[in-house]
Amino acid sequence: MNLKRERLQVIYDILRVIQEKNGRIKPTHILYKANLSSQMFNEYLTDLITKEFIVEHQEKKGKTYSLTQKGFDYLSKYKFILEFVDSFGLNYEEER
Amino acid sequence: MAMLFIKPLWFQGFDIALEIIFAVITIAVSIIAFKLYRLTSERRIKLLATSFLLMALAYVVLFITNIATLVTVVKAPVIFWESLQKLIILNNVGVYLYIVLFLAGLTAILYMTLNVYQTRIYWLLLLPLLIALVFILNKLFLFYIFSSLILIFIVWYYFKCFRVNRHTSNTIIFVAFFFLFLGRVHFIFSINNALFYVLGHFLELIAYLLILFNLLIAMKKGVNHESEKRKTTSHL
Repeated sequence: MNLKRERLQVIYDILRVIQEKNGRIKPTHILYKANLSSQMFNEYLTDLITKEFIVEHQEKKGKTYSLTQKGFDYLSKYKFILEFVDSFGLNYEEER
Repeated sequence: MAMLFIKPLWFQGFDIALEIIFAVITIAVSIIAFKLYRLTSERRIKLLATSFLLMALAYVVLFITNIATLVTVVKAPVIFWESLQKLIILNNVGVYLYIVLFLAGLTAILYMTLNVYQTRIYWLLLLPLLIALVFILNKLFLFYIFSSLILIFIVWYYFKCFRVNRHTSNTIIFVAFFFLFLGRVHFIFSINNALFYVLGHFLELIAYLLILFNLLIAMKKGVNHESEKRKTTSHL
């Protein structure tokens, strides 16, 4: 149960880590803070880039990531998103 | 096409007002859900937004149909055969559209609760209902039966949701859909008794007010959290 909430929470955690670092952050740092396996982390990262929550920057020392406006909006509306998902039963998944 | 249901004369106008309220509430839920979908890209939020949009459109169509009928009847003291024919056609088209949109909306909620990832299943649920409606004489009667049946499954889903997570919001949404189901059941009996038509509307009003209340609680909690966060950041 609560798979949706977990997913929303993971996205929130990743975005929060980037925000706390005032913009640009290295992937290893996000991986460490988000507490995910590297495979899961890569999936989330790709997903977040595709959905335009974060942008990837190619620098001399390697890749860094920063938040987009959509990413900031997600962080500020996170609590409301959770409340809405809970209120309309969107987080409930029946056992098969 | 024969469509049969009894509507008390004194209630004419009230039902139209209630349909506006239903349309406004369903549009509000749909707009907010679409906004959240743009942020999260969550499929289930999109499905909820679409279903409420379809239901809102259904109520708007019903409102337009009823208001057009009412205006035609009030304006003309004597209705000529031609006007009557036009009125019947308008009424039939309006009610047909309402039935299709409302069933599509309810089926979308049911599809969302099933949590399956094939759009074909949605069409598999909806198309047999629409095909059956084409061949039946009293379409409204069967439509109310179909919508009640779909609502049984939706209510069951929200009941299970409520059993697992006994939060206020889960209770409210479960009760809201239960009232929506009761409203639909009353509409089935409105074929024989006008009182059921009135009761059905009031039960649906309770259902939609509860849905609105649920939405407002979620918004309030979300806003409170945001302002608390701002306060903490400014203190730091």
